[in-house]
Amino acid sequence: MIEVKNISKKFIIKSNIVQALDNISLKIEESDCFAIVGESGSGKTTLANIILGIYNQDNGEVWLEDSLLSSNRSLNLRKLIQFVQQNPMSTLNPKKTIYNTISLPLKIHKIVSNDKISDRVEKLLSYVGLDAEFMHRYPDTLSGGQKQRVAIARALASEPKVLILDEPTSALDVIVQSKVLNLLLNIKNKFNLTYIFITHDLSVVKNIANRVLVMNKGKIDEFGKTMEVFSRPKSDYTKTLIRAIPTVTDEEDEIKPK
Amino acid sequence: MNFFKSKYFYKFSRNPLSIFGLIIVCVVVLLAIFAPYITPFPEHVGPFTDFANKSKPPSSTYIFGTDKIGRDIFTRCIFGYRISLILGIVVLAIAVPIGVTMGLCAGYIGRKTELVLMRITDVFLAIPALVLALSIIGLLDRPNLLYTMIAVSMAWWPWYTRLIYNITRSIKTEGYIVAAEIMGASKIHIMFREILPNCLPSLLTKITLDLGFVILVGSSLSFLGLGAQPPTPDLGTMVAKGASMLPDTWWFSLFPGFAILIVVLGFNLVGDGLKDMFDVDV
Repeated sequence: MIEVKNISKKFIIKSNIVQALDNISLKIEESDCFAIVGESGSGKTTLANIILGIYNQDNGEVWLEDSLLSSNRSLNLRKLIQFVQQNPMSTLNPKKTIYNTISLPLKIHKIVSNDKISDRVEKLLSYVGLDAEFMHRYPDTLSGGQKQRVAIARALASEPKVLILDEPTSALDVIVQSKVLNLLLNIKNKFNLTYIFITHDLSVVKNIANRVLVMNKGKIDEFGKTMEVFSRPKSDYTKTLIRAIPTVTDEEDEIKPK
Repeated sequence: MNFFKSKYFYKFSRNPLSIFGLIIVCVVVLLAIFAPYITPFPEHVGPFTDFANKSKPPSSTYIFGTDKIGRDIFTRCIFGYRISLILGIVVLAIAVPIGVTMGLCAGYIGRKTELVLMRITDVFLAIPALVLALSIIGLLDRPNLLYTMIAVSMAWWPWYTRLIYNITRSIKTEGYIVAAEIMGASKIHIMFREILPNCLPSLLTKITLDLGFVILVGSSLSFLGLGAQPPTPDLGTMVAKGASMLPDTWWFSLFPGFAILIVVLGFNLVGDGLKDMFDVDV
């Protein structure tokens, strides 16, 4: 499905060279829920941005099936990989109604004829559990969870094959987080999507991803099936990350109010 | 949504000075539009002389008095508003689209485009607007209203470039811009449909504030004899002609000067109100 071959990327920050990605190669299969984990600055967002075409890589290639992807890719390739961002507050244009936001990809990629756009927007909103009345509202009247649902509807509008989710639930409260995660899993099954899920929340990864890539300082630290990586981590860094998942020890359980 | 019940209008109306400014602007605009119907002597606007009534002080017939060839100053002030408003609107109609387009391109496209456009803007910003307008008029054939408008426009667009450039730079990395880029939206779409609507509150406020200043600069140029030429009634020209007769025939220049003051004050008060209403800094 997606094949990343020997990708490297450097940034120059205040005359210091930062190696954001160092010779990364991986393969993401169709219908995977592929998680990329690592601490801040490990290069996971840079990798996603290269796959999305926001940045150009210094070396290496990205392939989507038989097509080579670059930052100035054609519209036909662009629509196949879409993105849901971390911050629901900035993901929607405050001056545009939800209808205008969701209809934009429909118009750019000519998904439906002009007279059917309204029906299509309504349908997309229903996929993410929002009523048709949301169409005429502005983002400032929506909660964080609702904004993230609209962002998911917008990403689905161009009928993509791959959805890159950059910490889509980290800015939401716990209850809304689980609702949005459930929604994402339902949508994945319904449209047979491939997910690339960027997160540093390992408990989320454990529950929804079937394969996981652990990144550290721009390099691949560990890569494999989620259960294998979690049950038998090979590298010290992955072990440290897994240990960092908050758990309740027996001692703590005892002092908990009954 | 009823605008008069919105939080925006509430913020605007909280300041009585803004409402006062709005009333002034509305009255001036209405006076200018209906000038031929509400002025007592509309024929005094053209080439007209009435030496029997020359230099008459304010009276019930001529409330602002008459000038040295017997024309009613009140009528000419009201018609003068037409020229001032046309000047302000035409200047901004030229300067705003140029400034906004350059600001959007420099801010969004960046790199060499930004470097070239912003350095050109800096050159224009380094020279005060009135001095620049004077030099541009100096280069043109002979002074008239059209040349004044072109000259003031050329001095005014850089301020809009600077304003829009700063806003564009601050929002170009927002999530919705990145989302539009990933979707494949064109640069033109992103600049004019995604970024520009977010600049509108600041833009509208600056346009309102600038209308007053443009009228003031236009009147200053007319005062120097570089604006509308006689017999066109221009407030700046009227002040200039009357200034040499002070203090004897004080009404020659006092009332046109007062008329300029009123319109500039009106636009400034409305502009300040809009600034509070949109909570923007221009």
